[in-house]
Amino acid sequence: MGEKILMKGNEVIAEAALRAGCRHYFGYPITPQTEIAHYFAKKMPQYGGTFIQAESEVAAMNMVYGAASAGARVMTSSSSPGISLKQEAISYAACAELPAVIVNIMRAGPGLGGILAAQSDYFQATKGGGHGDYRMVVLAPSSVQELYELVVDAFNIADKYRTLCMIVGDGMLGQMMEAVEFRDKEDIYQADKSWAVTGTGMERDHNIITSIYIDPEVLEKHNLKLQEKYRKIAENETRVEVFNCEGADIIVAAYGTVARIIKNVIKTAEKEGIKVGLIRPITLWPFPTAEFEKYADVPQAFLSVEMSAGQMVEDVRLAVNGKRPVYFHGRMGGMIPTQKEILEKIREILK
Amino acid sequence: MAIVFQRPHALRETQMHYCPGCTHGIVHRLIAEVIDELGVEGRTIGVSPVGCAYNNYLYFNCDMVQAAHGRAPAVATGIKRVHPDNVVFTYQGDGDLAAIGTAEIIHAANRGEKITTIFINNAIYGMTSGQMAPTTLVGQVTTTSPFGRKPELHGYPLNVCEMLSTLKGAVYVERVSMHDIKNIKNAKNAIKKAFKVQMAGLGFSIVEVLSSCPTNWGIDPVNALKWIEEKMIPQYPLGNFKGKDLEV
Amino acid sequence: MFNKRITIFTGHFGSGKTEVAVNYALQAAETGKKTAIVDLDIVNPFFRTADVRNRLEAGGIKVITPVYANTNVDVPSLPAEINSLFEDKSYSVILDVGGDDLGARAVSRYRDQIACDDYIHYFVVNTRRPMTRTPDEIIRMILEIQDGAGLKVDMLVNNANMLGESTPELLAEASEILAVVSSRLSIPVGFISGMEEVLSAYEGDRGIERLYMKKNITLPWEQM
Ligand SMILES: Cc1ncc(C[n+]2csc(CCOP(=O)(O)OP(=O)(O)O)c2C)c(N)n1
Ligand code: SF4
Repeated sequence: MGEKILMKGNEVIAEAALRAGCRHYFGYPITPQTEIAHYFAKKMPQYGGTFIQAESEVAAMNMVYGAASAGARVMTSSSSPGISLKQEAISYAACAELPAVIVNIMRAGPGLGGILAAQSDYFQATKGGGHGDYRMVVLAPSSVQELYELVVDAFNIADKYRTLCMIVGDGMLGQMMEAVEFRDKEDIYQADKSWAVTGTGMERDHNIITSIYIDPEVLEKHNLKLQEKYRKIAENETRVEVFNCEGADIIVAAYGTVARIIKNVIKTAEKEGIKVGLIRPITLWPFPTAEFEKYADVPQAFLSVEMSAGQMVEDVRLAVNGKRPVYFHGRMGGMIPTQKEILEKIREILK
Repeated sequence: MAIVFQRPHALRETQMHYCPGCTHGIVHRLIAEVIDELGVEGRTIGVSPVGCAYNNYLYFNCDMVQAAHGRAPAVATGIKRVHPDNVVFTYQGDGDLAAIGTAEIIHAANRGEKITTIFINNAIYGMTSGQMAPTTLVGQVTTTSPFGRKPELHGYPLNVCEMLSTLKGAVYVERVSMHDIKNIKNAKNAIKKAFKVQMAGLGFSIVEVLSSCPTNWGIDPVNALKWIEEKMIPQYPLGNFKGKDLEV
Repeated sequence: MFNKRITIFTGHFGSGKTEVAVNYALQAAETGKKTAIVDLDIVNPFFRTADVRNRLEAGGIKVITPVYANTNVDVPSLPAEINSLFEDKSYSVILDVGGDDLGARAVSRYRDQIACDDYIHYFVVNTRRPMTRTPDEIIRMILEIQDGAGLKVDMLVNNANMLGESTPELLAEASEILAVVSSRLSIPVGFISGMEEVLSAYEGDRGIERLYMKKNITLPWEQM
């Protein structure tokens, strides 16, 4: 491992992408993730790469579509309202099986909402957002160090499966600074990209990147192929952190920065004689259903804590499958759940 | 004239799906001939639109990418930035380019992206069966302007070349027509020059092609060509708007 | 320290200048000065002086923040109140300026009022931040910020840290880097700042003033 330096979440995203071999970034300014673009704007020329401030998020994601078609490692980033605009090209890229990384530093919605931290795009990220039966890998880091590692992984997963990977964080993660230790060299998955458009060189038949299938039978077949790929991803790429769950009185499900609040709750609860476990999904899709199944009989109850009106809780309920009650505690609008209120909720549930 | 029936190498041996008398097919042939003559098939990448030409990726022998409705210029930007030495063109209709994709075309042109756009202006939405386009003529009846296009309700026809030629990044802008042999020849020259401008790295180039849609105009193919000449050209004057004197 | 009417802090974004400015203001107020702190940070919408408003106000300090600080909008409007501080000379004024040349631009509109006043411009450096790691990078940043702010940098502040993982060795490492910057630009190090535990363990640079800091800006999960 290399030297440690102090970095902001948003800077780390850009730095990690550069280290992962990404030389093409297309974006449109929106708080609280604009530093990603600032960092690329300053650094990309040193790497001989491309940074374009597109005319809109629609265009930015379509530029990603083009660059990915051309075989490049490519990234875009935005925050919630901008991610809504990217959905068109996300769906197209999913169908055309283009690898790319999308970052969503979520802010509070709906609508223009506000710039403060939220997790209310969980449904959008994991259950569609765009049209059609597609999935993307959704990674939810909870520290700046993990953010770095997952951005690099996201590029590798994207190339390995010809899939989209989304990194979701919130303004806190994007803006906060923490020490990061970079590896001297990244492990870069060497994908066969003979499908990409590069010019035939008059040496092969033409390559076509498309998302249109006029014949319903062919389109169904293509869909089945996509579903098989998603099944394989679920089998190989599901990630989760399980903490303090053996013999826990209650298991909390939380991801991203909220999981860090829970880690402190665990310490405080311990002093009161309450054992709180944490299951932290690192991939929101594929969801770590197996871990919840494994611990379903252990606690008296589950509690999902989110900065939303209750989105991930639906997946927790499906995974726990009625074996234990599943409760929810959430804040919205840019409000952050406090240790105090979470502890109160836990006491109330266990009463 | 036998030469006309010989298939350019850049065009695949696939039966095109266009309606009889539609000039989309002629434009394809011209593009393919230009690609052949410039010897760039091996390094050309085309971008297909959404519109009647949605699947023209099947017709060209070069690498092709199908783009979402209106987004071809953004997709082409992504491709060109990855492969700056390739020749990248988009093929777009007037709904695609001048309605849903207005932002993308203006900004690709304004950035001076080194791409070439072939813009088919047939004054109508062909694929979705004859709705009003931004380019629909005043008084023209379409399925969504059944009483004719009325400026007070629908605004006026959009003159794309005139608009884009105000942008510094757009260095070659020309409008041509498919209504007779002489104009078809002019069209080919314009397309060739547009490609050459791109290859010389000068900036964005566009050729607008006045094209027929007998099916949705409800006119037979011969009269459709006349309709271009008599009705469309007064609204969309032919000629070069920019870059006539560029030496390429 | 504490002897100028206007004290300006600029730096690379994330250099820790807000933490420095806040501690500086609290200690200036403790010396009995009538103190005001202005958050001119229009770049960074999270974690800034507005967060610690209560502590500062409890210390008798007047706090002026962008109109929308810590709300759900990101419009960088500066309050008109700032002007009064240039007129009312009874205040010691501390300006916490946003990061990089971009942030420094916000101070540029006041530069004429500042230039004819009694002021000092500190450039805060954390050598463990990207883009201010080497003398060359730091010099480039200083030149950019001077350009943005329209005010020359008078002194450097050694604020080398890695938050919770800070050590005295980091200050020593930075001291060597800053020595090069100082000699090349003829800008001296004004003071060294660090959290109390870390800074008191640092043996070097005894001839240079020190700002012993307390942590004022906490992350949400550190709060109850
Ligand atoms: C987002 C989106 N909206 C609408 C459509 C439906 N649609 C397909 S083609 C088309 C119009 C095409 O017209 P034009 O670009 O003029 O091309 P032409 O068919 O005349 O060649 C529309 C509206 C679509 N495919 N995608
Ligand atoms: S509908 Fe019109 S534009 Fe489309 S193929 Fe037929 S004639 Fe051509």
